[in-house]
Amino acid sequence: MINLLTHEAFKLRHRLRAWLGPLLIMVLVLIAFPLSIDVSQYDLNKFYFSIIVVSLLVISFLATESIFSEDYEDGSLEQIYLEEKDFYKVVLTKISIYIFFIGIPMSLIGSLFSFANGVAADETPKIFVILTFSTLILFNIFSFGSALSINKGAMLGVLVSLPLALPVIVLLGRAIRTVQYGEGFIEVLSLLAGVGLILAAVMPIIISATLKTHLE
Amino acid sequence: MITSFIHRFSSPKSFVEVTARFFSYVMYLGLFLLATGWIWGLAFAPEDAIQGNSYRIIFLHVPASIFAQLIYFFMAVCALMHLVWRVKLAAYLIKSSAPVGALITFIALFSGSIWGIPTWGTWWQWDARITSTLILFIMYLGIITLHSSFSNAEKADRLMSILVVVGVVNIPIIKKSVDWWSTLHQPASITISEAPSIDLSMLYPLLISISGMGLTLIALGILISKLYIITREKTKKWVQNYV
Amino acid sequence: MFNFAFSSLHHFLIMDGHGIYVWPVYLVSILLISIGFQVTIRKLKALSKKIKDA
Repeated sequence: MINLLTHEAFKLRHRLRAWLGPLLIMVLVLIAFPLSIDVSQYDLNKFYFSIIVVSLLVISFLATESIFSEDYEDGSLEQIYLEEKDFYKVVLTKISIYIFFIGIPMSLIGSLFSFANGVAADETPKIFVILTFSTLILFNIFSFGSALSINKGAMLGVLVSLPLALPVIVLLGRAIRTVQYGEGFIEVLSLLAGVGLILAAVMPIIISATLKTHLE
Repeated sequence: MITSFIHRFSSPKSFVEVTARFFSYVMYLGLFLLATGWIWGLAFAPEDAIQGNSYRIIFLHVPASIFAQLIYFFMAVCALMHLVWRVKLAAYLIKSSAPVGALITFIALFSGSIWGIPTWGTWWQWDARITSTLILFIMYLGIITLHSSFSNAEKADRLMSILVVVGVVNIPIIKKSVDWWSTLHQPASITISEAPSIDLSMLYPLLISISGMGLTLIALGILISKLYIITREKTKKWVQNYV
Repeated sequence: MFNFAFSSLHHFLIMDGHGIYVWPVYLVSILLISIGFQVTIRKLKALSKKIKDA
């Protein structure tokens, strides 16, 4: 397992475009948004969250779009399949590495930008935790979409995975409101964490079944 | 035992032959019930005290919304059958139900948004049930697109089944969303466990419209599946004998 | 239960100003469902003919 982790981490680290690209786009979006409204920036701290949430959604999609396609194209997925290695472990490792290298930095960027735009310092960690659990859910959902639509383009990927991701956005919006108004934070966080952990355990099973179907 | 039973009664050939026998009964009964329910609802049911005559959209909107969800549920059962027992017919039925589901979900959304104008004063609101029906509509489109993206039909069948089973988690969200999120919607008019909150003179035409809509959609589904089965199996001998 | 709910046919069509919402909804839905039937029947006939001719 450790070997697998270091192997996947090594692979991702050398694909600079795959992990640094999404993070830079996130920063760019979060900088561009305040510039696109008028200079008085009335109520910016209220609206700023929604742009963080939406950019989290879009960039999670972007980041996982090619999570399996490169391995599929260069034949390494087929090799794993033929060697009858545990597909579940490979998928789980891949998603974990992506969350670690892209998801968590994304959440960090999101919470830092919300701090810079007027969220109190003691609430910033709360935002970070919420965003981290949301990326856990979103990365799993979008990896599933990317596994289904492997090398068939983004349109199919969006159509199949967006319906599953939209309820998460509603939940995320609600979680952020609890931080803003200071009530029911733990309840919503437990719900997010519960959904996230269940998905993190179950999704790799479904994704490996999907990938096997592609390879059969 | 179960597997052999399922495989015996689920050959595409016997499906086409059996449904051909009662297709016209289903279609004409469905259209008759739909016409009865709608004429009763539009012309004879009393005016609603609060919503006035605009409530008459209920006789179309409620059946459409019910079947928008039921068709997905049916597809999920078929998807499980396809994944567990590899029943070919189940995959054919999913593929042919998806356009029917998309059509009726679109009708539910369309009728709902028009009904919203006189009732809520707005044609679209990001209300829980509308949003979840929209999500359901996108899911139907996703299923249709996914299947048509792959040239290998068997592979497409399996991928589609996986997507349908994963997507079924959205159905309880749709069902429960009214309680979870704040909503403009009136609570459901008919539930199984409680007495209906709607007057009998409105309930009867509603129930007739629901059953009429159900039968009409089943007839449409049968027709589309027949088309699809013949397309998929056109090289088989039974198809050439059948046509 | 079976009394005509309107005083005249004209009122039935207008529905106190709500007819403009009610009728298009029914018409569009009937149209869509019948297009569904028609397109499928037409395709089915064409396909059967193609198989027969082949």
